[in-house]
Amino acid sequence: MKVHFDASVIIAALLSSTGGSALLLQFVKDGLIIGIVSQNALDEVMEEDKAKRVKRSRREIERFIAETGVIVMGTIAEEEIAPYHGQVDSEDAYLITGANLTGCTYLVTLDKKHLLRPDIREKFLPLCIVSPKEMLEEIRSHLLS
Amino acid sequence: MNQPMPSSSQTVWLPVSKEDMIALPKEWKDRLGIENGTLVKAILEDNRIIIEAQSIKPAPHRVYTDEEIDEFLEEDRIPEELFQEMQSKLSALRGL
Repeated sequence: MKVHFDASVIIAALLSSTGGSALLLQFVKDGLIIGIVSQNALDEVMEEDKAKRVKRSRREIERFIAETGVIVMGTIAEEEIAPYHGQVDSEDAYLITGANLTGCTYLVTLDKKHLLRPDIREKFLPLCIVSPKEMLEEIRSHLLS
Repeated sequence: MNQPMPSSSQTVWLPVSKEDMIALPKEWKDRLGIENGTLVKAILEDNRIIIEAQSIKPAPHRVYTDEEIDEFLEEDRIPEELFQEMQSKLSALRGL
């Protein structure tokens, strides 16, 4: 099961050890699912204001990512998001690109305003855009039943 | 008629320090926009090492506000029973 994460999931996991995002990363760490994040998303996580908000230095965030076992894919270039122009906000297009380029079945996000919307979810099927809680329920029904 | 492009290759001899460091000429760094503290791509090809400046323009990403992060944390909450159940299943799998 290959799962692509956006920045919101990584930020939430850094801020709360009892939330769905942190739990999801434990499944990655244990090798039960394959987690992938793009450098673009990590650039957002490691911006100076976010590092202050999560109360971790850039190096500590890098260590956290390394310890989760999440695979970091290289920077997605502007030209690579061209196929999704007009289908999704340009700031979110790299997530759809990244998930599809890495053959992920799921894109996990906490962004209800831009991604966890019925129209967006339907538009990019068979890629499943889900919240961490929904992803955990998928894991429960597929892997742990 | 197409004219052949003039070659833009340059060669310099660079010392390798005891710490395995090689300093790129400043003129080259400036020309390729390589800044200190950034990454360059190194490719080992037979008996050559090619160093490439990062030339791609990254796709734009969203910049979240503090309020949006608060909303994420709210959305990230999961029922205590689900958390405990998944934790215990993880522990059981680790014990296998």
